Amino acid sequence: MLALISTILAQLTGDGEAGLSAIGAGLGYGLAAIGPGIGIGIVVGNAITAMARQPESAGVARTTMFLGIAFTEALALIGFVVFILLLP
Amino acid sequence: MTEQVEAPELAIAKDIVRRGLMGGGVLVGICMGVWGLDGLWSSGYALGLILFNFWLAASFIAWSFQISPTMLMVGVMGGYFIRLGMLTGAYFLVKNIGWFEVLPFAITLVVAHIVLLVWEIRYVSMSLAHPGLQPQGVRS
Repeated sequence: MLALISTILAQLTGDGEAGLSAIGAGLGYGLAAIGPGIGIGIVVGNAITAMARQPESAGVARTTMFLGIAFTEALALIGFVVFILLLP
Repeated sequence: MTEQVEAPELAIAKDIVRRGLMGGGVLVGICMGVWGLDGLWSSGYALGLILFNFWLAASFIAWSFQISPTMLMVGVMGGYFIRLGMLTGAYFLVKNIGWFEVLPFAITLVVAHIVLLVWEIRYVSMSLAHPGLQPQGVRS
C-alpha cells in the first residue's frame, strides 16, 4: 500500500527521486515525533502522580518534569532536522 | 503578606535564554566562519527559535499548572504539538529566502538545544527548599 502511494506520488511530482525523498522526509518526521510524544506523556503522567502523592515536593517534580520534557524533545528536534535535510 | 514566587520552570527557562544569549554567539560565530553571512543569519534564526521554544514550553507548563493536573497534561502535550508546528512553520517561512542555509540552521537547532540543557543542569537545584534554580550564593 505504502509502495503504491509512493509510486503514485512520485509520478505526480514528475521527479521520482524527489518525490520519494519528500515521502521519506514526511514519514521520518512523523515517526520521530511519536516517540518523544509518548515519552513526554510518561514524564508528565509520573510528575502528576508524584505531585498528587507528595504535594510539598511539587516544585522539585516540576523542575524534573521540565528538564525531562526538554531532553525528550531533543529527539523530536533531531527528527525535524532529518526532515528538513531530506526535503528536496 | 506572601511573596510571589516565580514558577521553577519559568526561572529555568529564563536562565537558559540568558545563557543562550551569552554563549550562543560562539555557535553563530562558527557558522558565520564556515558559511559566511548566510550562516550567521540562519544560525541566529535557529538560536532565536530554540530560545523561544524553551520559554514557550515553560510558559505552557506554568500557565496550565495553575488550573489543574488535567490541564497540565493538556498544556504540555498541546504545547509540544504547537511548538513542533511553530518550528515547521518557521522553517517553511524562510525556506526560499536568499540568506537561508539549511545546514547551519539544522546544526544550531540540535547543538544549541542539547548544549544549553546540559549547561543548565549544573545550575538546577533539586532541594525542597529551592526548587528550580540554585540560590545565588551556592552557584559556582
